Amino acid sequence: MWKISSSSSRSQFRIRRSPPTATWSLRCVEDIVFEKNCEQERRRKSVGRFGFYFPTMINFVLLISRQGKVRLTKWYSTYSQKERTKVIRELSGVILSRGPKLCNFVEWRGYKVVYRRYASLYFCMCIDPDDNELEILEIIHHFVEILDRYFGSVCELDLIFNFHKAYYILDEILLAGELQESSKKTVARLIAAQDSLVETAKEQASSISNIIAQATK
Amino acid sequence: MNNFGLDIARLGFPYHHSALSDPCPRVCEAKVAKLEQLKTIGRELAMGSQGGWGQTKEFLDLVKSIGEARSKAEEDRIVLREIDTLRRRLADPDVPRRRMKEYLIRLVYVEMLGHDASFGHIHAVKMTHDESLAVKRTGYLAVTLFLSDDHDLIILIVNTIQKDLRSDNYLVVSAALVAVCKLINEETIPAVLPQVVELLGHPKEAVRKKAVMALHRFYQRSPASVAHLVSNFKKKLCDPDPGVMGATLCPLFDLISADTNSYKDLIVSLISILKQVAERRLPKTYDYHQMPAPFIQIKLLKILALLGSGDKEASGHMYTVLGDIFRKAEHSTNIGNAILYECICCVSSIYPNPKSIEAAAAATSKFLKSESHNLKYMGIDALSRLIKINPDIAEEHQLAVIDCLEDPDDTLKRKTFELLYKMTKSTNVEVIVDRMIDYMISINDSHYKTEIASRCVELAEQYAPSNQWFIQTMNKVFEHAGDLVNIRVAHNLMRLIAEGFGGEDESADSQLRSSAVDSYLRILGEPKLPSVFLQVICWVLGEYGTADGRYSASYIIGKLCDVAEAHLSDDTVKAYAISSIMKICSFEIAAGRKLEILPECQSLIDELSASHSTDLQQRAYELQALLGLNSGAVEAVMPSDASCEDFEVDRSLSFLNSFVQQSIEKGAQPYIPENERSGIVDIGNFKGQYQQEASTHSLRFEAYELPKPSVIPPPTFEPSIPLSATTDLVPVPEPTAYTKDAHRASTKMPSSTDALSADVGVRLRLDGVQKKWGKPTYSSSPSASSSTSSASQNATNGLTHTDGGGGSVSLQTRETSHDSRRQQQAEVSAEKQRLAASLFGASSVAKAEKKPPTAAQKAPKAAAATKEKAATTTTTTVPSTPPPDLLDLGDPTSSDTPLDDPFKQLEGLLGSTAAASPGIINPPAAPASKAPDLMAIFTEAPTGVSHSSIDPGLSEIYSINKSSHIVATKKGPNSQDALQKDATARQVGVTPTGNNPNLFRDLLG
Repeated sequence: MWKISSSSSRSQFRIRRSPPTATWSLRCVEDIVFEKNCEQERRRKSVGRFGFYFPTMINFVLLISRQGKVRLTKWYSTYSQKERTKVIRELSGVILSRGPKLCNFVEWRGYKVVYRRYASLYFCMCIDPDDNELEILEIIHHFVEILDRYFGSVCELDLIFNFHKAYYILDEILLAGELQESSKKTVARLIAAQDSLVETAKEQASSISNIIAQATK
Repeated sequence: MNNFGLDIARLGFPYHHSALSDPCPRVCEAKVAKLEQLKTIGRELAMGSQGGWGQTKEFLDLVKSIGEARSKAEEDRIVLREIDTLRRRLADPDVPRRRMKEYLIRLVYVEMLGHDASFGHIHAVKMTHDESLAVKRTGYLAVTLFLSDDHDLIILIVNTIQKDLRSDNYLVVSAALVAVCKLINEETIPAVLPQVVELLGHPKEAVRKKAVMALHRFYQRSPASVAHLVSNFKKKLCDPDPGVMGATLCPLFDLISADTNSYKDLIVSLISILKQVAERRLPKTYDYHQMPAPFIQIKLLKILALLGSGDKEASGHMYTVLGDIFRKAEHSTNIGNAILYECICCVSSIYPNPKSIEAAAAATSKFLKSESHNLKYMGIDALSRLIKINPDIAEEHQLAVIDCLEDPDDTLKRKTFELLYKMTKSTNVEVIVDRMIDYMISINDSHYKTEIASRCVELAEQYAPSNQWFIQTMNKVFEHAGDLVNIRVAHNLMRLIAEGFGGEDESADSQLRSSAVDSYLRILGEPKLPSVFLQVICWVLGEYGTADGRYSASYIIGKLCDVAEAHLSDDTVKAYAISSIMKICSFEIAAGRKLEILPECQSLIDELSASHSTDLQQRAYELQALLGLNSGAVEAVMPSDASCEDFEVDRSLSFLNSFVQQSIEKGAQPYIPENERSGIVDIGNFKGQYQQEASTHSLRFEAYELPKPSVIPPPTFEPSIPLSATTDLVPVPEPTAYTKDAHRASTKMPSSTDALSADVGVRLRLDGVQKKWGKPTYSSSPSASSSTSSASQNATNGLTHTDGGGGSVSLQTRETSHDSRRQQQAEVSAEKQRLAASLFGASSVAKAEKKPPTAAQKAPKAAAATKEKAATTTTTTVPSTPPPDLLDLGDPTSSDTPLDDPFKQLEGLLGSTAAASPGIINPPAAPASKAPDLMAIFTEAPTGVSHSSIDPGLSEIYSINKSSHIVATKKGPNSQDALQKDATARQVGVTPTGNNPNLFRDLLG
């Protein structure tokens, strides 16, 4: 009995050495590849709660002010509230501390975050590592130009008080994490249509209620 | 919504106008006083019912107070109070709908700030049922922001979505489709799929586009659900609206990346679309910064890269259009560069063609030579793609790459390391891994540290030129990133040391071991070693500490006792230490030497015998028992240097069969395997079943299994004995790792051959490595180093020469310090050259020497590079000059543009109707005032240099100027707008001079 236990504890590093050549290194690489896959898998699983991974182009959009205040967030992958808070805290730490002349890209937990600063507002988008960063940079600019056109020389205050409108606009530009419309005019037209319809609907509603009110009198 | 506040503001403007244009100062003063009065009236009015942005006072107050919050705690307090209010309000049964809408927006705001507002989610769902579009839209917005696709409330929305998808108002349909993209999950896809497909033929292009995107999302959630719709996507590619066509590229990209072969028929049409786009056939509205539909171009290029990969014929069609795009794309704009980058990616992915590779290489070199960090980054990335096709391309950019490697920008540095990682060969592995380790030591980010550590290990294992180097490298990795390194790496290192290198030369192996022991004994003196590394050290010392006879057993045992004592809380390390002590003791006993147990060792044994950990206890008792045995028995139990020998474990414990038989004959109960015992709740099985049920998510309708007759099985011990797994060389102490590994080993075993054959891509090139591993040093190193040093000398000579010629005019005035600095620079460049040579191989240097013209070209280039370097170093030494970056004007710390009260600006603006808006944001003014400063600072330096250092900034400003100018002209009454907004802001009560003046700054300024 004793022998078994002692040799088992000793055998912890005994190696089945089937091919006697330098297979160890082969196995190492294999293991590393496996580990890497695991890591990726884990990462992806941490994104989707059910273990799905959606290969979206943009994982989330974040607007933070110079002081680290959140102005707008839009999540295209699934993050829990806790994760969201953590992401925002981490990223604002990283991005706000970067100098002006550096890249507009930050590698972050295996993802890339592309950010761009406008006045005191940082627009950040998190993308998969093999996407085209310059394109994302231009998507951000595209968004800002549309905001600018909509609000008429947009400033941070517009976005603070009208964040819901900014959301509507963002929904017309990005859908399911992809750029859905690259024509500024089309987006502007759609947003205008929505706004005007809301207005007319309101007028109609009031007029109808008036009519009803009068009729019931 | 009624913009009451804004109206007030508008009313105010004429008044301002007249007041401020009044020439008489006294009148003006009086009017300013009146103005103040008016302002307060306006503010009160605004507070009364509605503010300038159409929200109630409450909401504005909320936003304002959060904006003014001094600390996170204060903000949290405000938000919690708000949550309280909202909870109360929402509970009220008859809230007017308009009010409700605002409450929801407030909820969104609260949740955006990171607080939980789940109590209001149901109200958002309710609002989607509303008739009015305005309310419905808000409801959908809130729902998409609140809920994820696995939320329980989704089921309540599906019905509404179905109804809305059928609406005859296209805006309702669009809103529903946006919600579909976010909320519909795998289970609910069938409920809306037919309607979404129908909407592909909707007359409004906005709806068609969103329907395509929704299908794209469905595909991502559950590929099978949309598989039959592929033809629809292909059809939508020909949609008359370019927006719909562009959107269709998204699902196509996903489909094609999953299965390239079935979409080869699209190549021709995709190429023709790309050609048309590049030739500006699309409507002007799709232009972006004078580029024709760049986002569509990029998407097309991505798809083509997939389709052309490894397909010579398909790639053949692409070369012309790629060439066209290369020619047309502009280097001056960001978007032009984005397209170029995508082209490079495409070229490097499809079947190589010399001409397009040449174009790609040219574009890459433009990226690398650019001043912008972004472009350098893209250049490095592009280079790492291109060297896969042609490794020689990298040579040309040696210096640029090294500049990037030494750049203070972390992102760029990491990208460069990625490039180096990809171009590692056995000739440059030492330099690269050393660099990587240096960098690894310098960073804190554990995620990246792990990554770079694993890369170091991987490279070292693949290309190590010598054993010595390998062990040293691993030591460094372990020392600095020990706990981040996978435990497997440690096992591999132990295995390597134990097995040697498989050569016949045993002496080399033992030399390796004694050098490992030496280095470990040295390292043990250092404080705070990571646990993983200590395990390796203990193991190696135990196996080989006394093998070469240079260290006495008691010395090694003493060291091991120190380790165990210093890491009281780490059971694993202690277990390793005690096992190692046991090994050394048994070697000593087996060799017939007298072994005296040191007092500290004895106390360690005593301590561990009383340990809470059974594992440690067992080890201690084993050691105790071993010490009492004679040498023959010890030899048998612990053979020396036998860690590599095969170890047979009798899994079925067949040697006990006779004993079992005997017992049964004597009337003992036979063993019943656990899973066949009745009456015992089988937890394992239960769990399995539960999981299965959870995954299917549905009721089970099949009948229960028939109960098994309780047949008494033949006695076997097989399944329940956990010992069986210990054969797998996993360290026992860590229970979690242990089970996991054992599990993995067992799951992996059947398919290990498959894995091996599938792994060809990452398999080692053993042919080259074998040579490197042996004793003879690799052949080219001495000659290479000598040639590199001579080359670098040459370079320094050339450099000093040119520099002396160029700077002779001002030489007299310069101090010696400058000279020394220059010498330093020269040295730096020599250093760089050397680095380049070692990174990119001696071959390039040799080539350069062979071809004098290129060498001559290279020398001035190097000189230029150092000059630039000098410029940058001097600039960095001056702390108080922020680079003239326009986008940075908002920085509160360095904002030297006076931000007066906007009302004063207003005065100025309205007083003189001339369009000059003083100082709201006047882009050219700031840099112009800064540039002379810079010049003044650099008067000592050659002017050319300072020019070059400022130039990029200036050009950037110019370009921004240009664009802002365009924007301004487009926008019309720009400042007027801003002023109006400012006025409304004031009425709301937010003052720009208060907490944050930047709030009022034009984002695109």
